[in-house]
Amino acid sequence: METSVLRPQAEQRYREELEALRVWDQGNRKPQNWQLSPKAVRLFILGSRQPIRCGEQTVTIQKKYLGNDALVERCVITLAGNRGLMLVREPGTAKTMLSELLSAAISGCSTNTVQGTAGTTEDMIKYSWNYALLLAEGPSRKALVPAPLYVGMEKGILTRFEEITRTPAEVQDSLISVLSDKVLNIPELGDDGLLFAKPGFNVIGTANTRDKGVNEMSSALKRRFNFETVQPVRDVALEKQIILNEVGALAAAAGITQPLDEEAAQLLATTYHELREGISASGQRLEKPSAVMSTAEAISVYFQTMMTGWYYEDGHMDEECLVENLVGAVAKESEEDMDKLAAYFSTVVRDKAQQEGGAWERYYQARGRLK
Amino acid sequence: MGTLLSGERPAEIIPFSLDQPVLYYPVRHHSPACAWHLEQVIRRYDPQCILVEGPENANDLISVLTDPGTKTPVALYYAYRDDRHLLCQEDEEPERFCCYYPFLDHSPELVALRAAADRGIPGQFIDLSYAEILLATKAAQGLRSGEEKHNYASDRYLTEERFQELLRQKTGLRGFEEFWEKYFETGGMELSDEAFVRQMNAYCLLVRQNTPESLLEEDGCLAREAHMAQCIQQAAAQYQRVLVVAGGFHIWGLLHPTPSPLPPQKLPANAQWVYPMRYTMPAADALSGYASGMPAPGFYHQVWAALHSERPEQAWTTVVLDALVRTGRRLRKDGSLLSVFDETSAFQQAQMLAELREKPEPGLYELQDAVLSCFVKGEANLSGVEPLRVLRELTTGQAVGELCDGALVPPLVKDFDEKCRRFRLTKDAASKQEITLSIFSQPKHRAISRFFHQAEFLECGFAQWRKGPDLVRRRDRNLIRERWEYRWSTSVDVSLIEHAVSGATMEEACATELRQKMAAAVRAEEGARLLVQGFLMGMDDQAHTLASRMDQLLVTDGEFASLCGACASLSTLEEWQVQYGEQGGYDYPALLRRCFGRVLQLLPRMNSVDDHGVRKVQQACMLLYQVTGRETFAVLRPPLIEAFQRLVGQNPIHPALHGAVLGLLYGDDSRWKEKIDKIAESYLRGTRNMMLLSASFLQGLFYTARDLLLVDRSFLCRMDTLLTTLTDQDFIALLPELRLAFSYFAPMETDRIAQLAAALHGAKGGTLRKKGIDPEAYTWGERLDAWVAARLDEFPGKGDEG
Repeated sequence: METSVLRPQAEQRYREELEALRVWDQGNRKPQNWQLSPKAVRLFILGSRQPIRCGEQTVTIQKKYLGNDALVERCVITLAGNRGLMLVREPGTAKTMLSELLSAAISGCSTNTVQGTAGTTEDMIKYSWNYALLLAEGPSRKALVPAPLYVGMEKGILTRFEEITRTPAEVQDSLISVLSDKVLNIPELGDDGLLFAKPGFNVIGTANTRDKGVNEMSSALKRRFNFETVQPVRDVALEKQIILNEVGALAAAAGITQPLDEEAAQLLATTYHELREGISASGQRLEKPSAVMSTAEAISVYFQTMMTGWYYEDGHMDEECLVENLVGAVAKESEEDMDKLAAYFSTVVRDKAQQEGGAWERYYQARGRLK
Repeated sequence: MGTLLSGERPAEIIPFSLDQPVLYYPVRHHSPACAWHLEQVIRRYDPQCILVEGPENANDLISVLTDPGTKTPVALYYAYRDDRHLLCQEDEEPERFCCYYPFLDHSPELVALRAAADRGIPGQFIDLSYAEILLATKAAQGLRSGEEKHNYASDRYLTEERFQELLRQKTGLRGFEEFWEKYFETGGMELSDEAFVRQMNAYCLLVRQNTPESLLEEDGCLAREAHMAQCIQQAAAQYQRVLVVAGGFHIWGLLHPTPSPLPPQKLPANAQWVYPMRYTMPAADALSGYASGMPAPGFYHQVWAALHSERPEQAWTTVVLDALVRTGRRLRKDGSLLSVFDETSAFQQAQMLAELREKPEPGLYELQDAVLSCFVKGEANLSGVEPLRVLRELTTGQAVGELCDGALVPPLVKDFDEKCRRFRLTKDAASKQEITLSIFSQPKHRAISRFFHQAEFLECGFAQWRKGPDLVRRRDRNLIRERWEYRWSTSVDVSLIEHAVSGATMEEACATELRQKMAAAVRAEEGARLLVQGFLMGMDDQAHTLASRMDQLLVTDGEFASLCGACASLSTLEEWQVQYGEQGGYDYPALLRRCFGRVLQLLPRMNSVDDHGVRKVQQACMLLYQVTGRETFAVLRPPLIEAFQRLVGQNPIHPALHGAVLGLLYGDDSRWKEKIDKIAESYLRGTRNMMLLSASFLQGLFYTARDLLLVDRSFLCRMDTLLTTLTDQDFIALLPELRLAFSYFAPMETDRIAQLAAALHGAKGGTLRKKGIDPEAYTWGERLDAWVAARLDEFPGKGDEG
């Protein structure tokens, strides 16, 4: 893997798999302009139990999205239809990852993306102008600077719109006519000012339903999307696996060769899962922190602890450091969250330390760092 | 699994060829694909006799099931009462068992029976009778497990948990039901009869291989198979082509029966019953809580209907489209902004998902996915899943079955009808009927009241008590009439059939269930309430049996509140025996005395009761005091007073209880007044914390002895001092309790207290009353108000600028 890029795009990371799938896909029906058929897209995201044959070679397709298989199928089919796909739910539920994988598999390009912020304007979505050329030559296609929506329509590929609810409602609404008529009007270009979308074009949006500072979507825009709610992982074992997989990839990219510590992943997966659900495995009711307790947060806590060990210590995962990083991740919204975390340690973690000992005992002993 | 599903081995183990003299056809209950292939197999095989898995004691009712007048969903209701104590200890109440065997149009078993009736060939059930199945089943297993409702044709073998998980993992589907639909329902329609049966047998064999033999023996499966195999043999000797329709799981067992491990038992003829009954789609849904076959019976019923329409080739697609349109219509009716375009997208989504999932046509799961994707706008949380709820309702269906004329009616239903006729209670009115009963003056009205109480006890939804003396909740005992509302509906009959196992008459059924509830009761309060219910239902003959159990409960129950509740109920019974003309029916006073004794034992320890429970203890003390006021129980007064004295001697004690018990002691002996004065003083003039408790103390005291404040000036003075010393903040804190304390006084008394209190501050009573408002002053006030409003209106927006 190339190490010159901090985070390679999905189509770069999984180039081998995508190429193998293209060979495997011969004969399968696919929508116009799609790089892979819906079956191959599903296989790319959900992985295969057995390696697939690609000419002389066999390639194993990794499972990249651990969660609801039916949701992935619905997403693929929605994108093949004439409506946009909107992935919603709280942060850290792998919405962006899913959107990136879908774009990489369907269009071979996951970078045609609008990053929604409070400052996003309509020209960042559709198109803007190279003003020097505009003044010199007047409005022309050459002077036009295409933005992701324009590019998607022109090339017949997917346009990703991240965090759509962060952009002001009137900017969001600029998508309405494009999504229904599949045509973009550029009045400055006169008679040539109609850009008809090529087959293969569609929009994947991601929206956050929990954060502060999000804008409600208009009903008109909602009608043009199929909504998919990406639920947080319900199974602790699966959450642990996701943490290990993701941290493994991050560590490899950062050149950290330290083997992964399954026990630490178990501690984090359990803590995040139980605090998010508000109930412990043994049935104790817990107060849910207002901070987002997502798997993505757990991954970052793990990776931070791992790096501390790698650069400053002997490389092993230290529970005290883990708790310190956990505090950093939880104490974002309010002080009360820290009390909730402390209460979790003094009940659930204490009981687990007594029953299971080992890593749980060390984890409990590190509770002094909860400040 | 791969080797078995390849189709070679199962075909060798369970051959399926139309040349055979006995043809075994495997089914899953409520599976349209099984039923559809079965229809074709019957046509091709042309059997001379059809044998169906089902308890054989319902063989006489097959004509009801196959009658054209009978409309599904219907069920057979099997019941057994273990009067001979074959399944329980001699000294135990005979256990009752019941189970349902539901039938829908697409139940393969019903299809087989209807086909036999159409062809004029014998069609019959071949399983052991229901009671025999129970006898062959170990306690707490199979049909004897503790489930609330049992289904004869449950899928517990086919849907075994370990398999579900393995299948889910291997096929990438969400669970067993989706697997079943993909490979057996939508997929099964594409197969030939032979291939379908081979696939069924392969799956069922695999499940069978992984089911421990011991489990099959424990839940009576082996004994049943042995019996069925015997029946099949007998039929084979008589006919040349015998078709056996049985659960896929049992086919191997029918071919290789083990000798029956149980010697046949002779059962009395009237120990078990079976009745046909109307059933409902929601009850037939597997998701309704007990395994009844496949989920979404309404959806599969439609598929079945579509398979028999003029265009059967696109049956599933047609039904999916129809369900989407109906869901959309319902949502629009409920105010949702769903467009036709949404429906179009959903239909396209369902079809494309089916293609992606390699299913020949979209099924229930594609339908659900399409609705989730295209109809749910926003996050699929609790508020966002209305479309899914509507879809669930539509796919479950609402249909209620009908039985043909002349279907067998259980004696309990007959008795109910007979009583309605005798009491002239109308059964054919669409609206609720109201009736007022003079229960104390007219014996017939008392009899009707008993009948209503019985119907209410059996929870059959016939009668509802509206007004009258309420002995159970101890309210409105001054009333002399009862008012009831009643309405008969078909659900009353259905419910009565469920109780048929308890007895042949209303009295018998209530008596049995009353005894059972009494045996299961763990609290004395619960037991006493059942005694009251029995009393209201006129179950005098049961009183002795019930009371002996009540005695046990009084000994074992150690909860004060429960014993007090029991005491109150028993006291009610004792009081009302005469009124209801039941005096001498049972010696309730003796029971009450025993209960009283138990309460007295616990009373002195109630000092530590918390704010939440103190009200109940107060009420209990009051009740005990009132009971001992009656002549019959006067002898209990001294021990009660002794217990009260011990209680007030405790420290700490809840102030509200302290006050209440002191008030009662004062009621018994006015010499207590001095002591009360001192204690009240200690509260009112104590430290700030004690002073704050005084409102609670006064509330207790006035609850039981409000005359103290009226007869004694010094008490009033002390209270006055308290109120004048309190800071505003403390006063506000005490106000709720003080209000409660004064709520025990009648308005006249409050008035008098107010005058006395006013006099302490030199005011006369009359000056306390607020005078009415002068009309002129009121008019002036209104004018002033209007003027000010008009002035304010003259400053539009100035406030904003400022």
